[in-house]
Amino acid sequence: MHTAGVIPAFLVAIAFSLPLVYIKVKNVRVFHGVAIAAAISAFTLSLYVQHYILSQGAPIVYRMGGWPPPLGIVYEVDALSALLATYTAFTIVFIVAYSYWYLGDDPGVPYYYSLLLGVEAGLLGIYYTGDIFNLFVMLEVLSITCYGLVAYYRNSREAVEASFKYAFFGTIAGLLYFIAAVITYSSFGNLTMGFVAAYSRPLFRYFYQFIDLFTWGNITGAVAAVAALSLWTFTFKAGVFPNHFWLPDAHPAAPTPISAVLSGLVVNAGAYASIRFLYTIFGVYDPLSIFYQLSQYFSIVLSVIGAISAVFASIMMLIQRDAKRLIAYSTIMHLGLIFTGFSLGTLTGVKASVYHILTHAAGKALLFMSTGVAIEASRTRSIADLKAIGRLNPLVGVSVAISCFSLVGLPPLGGFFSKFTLYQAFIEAGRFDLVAILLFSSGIALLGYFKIIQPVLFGFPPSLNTSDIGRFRRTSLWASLLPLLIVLVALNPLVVEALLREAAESTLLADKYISQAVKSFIDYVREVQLSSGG
Amino acid sequence: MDALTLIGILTAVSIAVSVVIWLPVALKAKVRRTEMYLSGEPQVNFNLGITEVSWAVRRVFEKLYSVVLNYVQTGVFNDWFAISLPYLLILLALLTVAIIVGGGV
Amino acid sequence: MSTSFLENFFITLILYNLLVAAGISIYGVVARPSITKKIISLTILQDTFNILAIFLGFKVFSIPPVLLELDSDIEKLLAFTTSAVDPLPQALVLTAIVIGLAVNLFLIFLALQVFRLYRTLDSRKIKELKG
Repeated sequence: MHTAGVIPAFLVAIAFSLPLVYIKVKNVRVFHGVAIAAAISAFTLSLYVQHYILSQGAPIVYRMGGWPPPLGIVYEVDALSALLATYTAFTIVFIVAYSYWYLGDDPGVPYYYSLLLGVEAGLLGIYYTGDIFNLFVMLEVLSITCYGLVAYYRNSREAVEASFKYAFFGTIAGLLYFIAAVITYSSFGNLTMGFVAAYSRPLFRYFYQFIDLFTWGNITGAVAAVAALSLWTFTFKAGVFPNHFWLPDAHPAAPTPISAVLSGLVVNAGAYASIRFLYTIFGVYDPLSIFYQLSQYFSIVLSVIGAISAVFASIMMLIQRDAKRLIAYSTIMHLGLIFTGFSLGTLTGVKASVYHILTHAAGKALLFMSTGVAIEASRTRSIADLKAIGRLNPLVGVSVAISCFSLVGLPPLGGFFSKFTLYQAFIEAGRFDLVAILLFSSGIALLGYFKIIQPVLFGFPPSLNTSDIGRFRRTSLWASLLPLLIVLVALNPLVVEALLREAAESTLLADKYISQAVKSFIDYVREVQLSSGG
Repeated sequence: MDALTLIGILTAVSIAVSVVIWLPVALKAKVRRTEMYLSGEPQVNFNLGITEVSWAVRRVFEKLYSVVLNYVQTGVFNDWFAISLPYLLILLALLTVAIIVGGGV
Repeated sequence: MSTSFLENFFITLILYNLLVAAGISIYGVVARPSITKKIISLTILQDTFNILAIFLGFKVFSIPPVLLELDSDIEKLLAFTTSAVDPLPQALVLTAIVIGLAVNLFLIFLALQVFRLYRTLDSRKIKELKG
């Protein structure tokens, strides 16, 4: 099963070759074509990986360079990571199509796509990797490309300031994660996620006797330090309350498609990595794990930071006058809700979190992209001066309205069902305080969204000359907005229930994840035995 | 309670919550807008439209926002650390407590 | 193998050095207003963490982790594994150094650009974006 290993390498290769090709080829339209071809092929490959995993019913392990799991780096893809990776690759296709509309003949296009494909490589690497240190590398790939993209307009004051603050803070976050990885190595003796997960569950140590004991004395202390440091890093990546500062700065400063990437996709990597660390690797919510005693503490921490960021961001949404900044605060709010979802440690909670990640990603990408069209037409980001682009191109108006309604959670749309699953999870766990917080923050956020819907649908029409009007009716705009709109309407439980259940089960019960990693090692030993004996 | 009823109730409640939050703003929010002063005309008071909600909310909840903008969202780099690093320390301390309570392994 | 006074002394010395370096650099990152000093402190912090990582895989009186001849003799292999340095932290640190190089270069470029646009490197004055 080599496809999983190919995808990030393929994307990185294309990303590095684009600036080299630019030396010879000066026509930037070529690069739009190459980027969309790369995005579509990455999506196809990730879809194939997901199909393979779902038909096989177990995670796959890809050994980098043929080295077996505890020695070498592996990619391990289970239902959760495959689902998120496919969804990310799918969304990026339309963001690239939107970039074609947005950037046009901008001379920076090759570098832009070089970085954008780097972001995709980093994201897919984070989702696919089965190695704690490789996660650090992929996190840095993702971070550095994101810093570069935020500073894309390198002569604008706000872009440089936002990028510097993001980059400086992100470097510290990366350092802390590096230290967490080193502590993990020194206490567990390896860095493979499946094996660390096996170490933390005594049952697996019973079945696989060759698994050694820990090298340190107090393993829970080491794990507590690792979990604290890595959770800090992941909340930074996800933009949850105490580490949310970079997010509302970076989104308005970046080009609009990059705001969509940052807000819809990059923050999900933080949430995914937290889920992977807490559920699969250390099994904090797994009664079989020796770290189960930490579960109530993590439950408190995650639900508190999630609740604070939901309430805080929804309050901050009301007073914003910059359209993109308002949407950025809405991202903080939704990530807070996602964190409260998986703080519960129940099947419904994880399912609701993953579901909310999906609906939020589509809704937020669509909202950023369609609001970006309105911003382009009115040539300002001030909400009060936004023009009614809906009268020029009804699709844009409909996109703004539908994505806002989905983010608020109005019935026939995807966002409603994910919020409903969240309610269900809270009520099942008896957490009525979280129900109140979800109601309160959604209620306030509704007002915030109306600030954007009102001028875009009912404001004054934009004053544009004829050549500009043609720009707002291009096919590339339709091609990028319409599919996400359809996804938003189609994301209902009838379609995704099976996928979500699979993903949540593979998260909550790490058995298959562990046994596939261990099986990969045993397979390798068998191969060596056969080749040397025969 | 079946799912459909719950759907109805929760949606209704979330809309009701937003209306309840909006009511004090809509009732209280009056901004005195001074037109260009010529001679002797009265200063105009008027209710804000929903598009100008940011000004209205900022006025009604002035104390809350002044605290947030002066202590949390200052935009100064060092103030970020003053919030983020204590969070890291609290995480570490909380988990140390967890070990002591749980007795370790 | 009994640990001599000298070993203890050097190990303790390195540990205290690391602690002090980490403390000073965290102070620099958190409290100094100048962006240049923040970046310098950040590089010191990176190096401190790198040395800490190497230190965790280090053994006193060890040999390089290079197996000169492949021998199936278990005794020799055991002697080798107990006396050789753990090479993996070094590989991790090598990766971290390369990544750190890229990030530091980018940060310095951004600091230069900040200075060009703001004419100052005082982080208290660079606050056009209110979080």
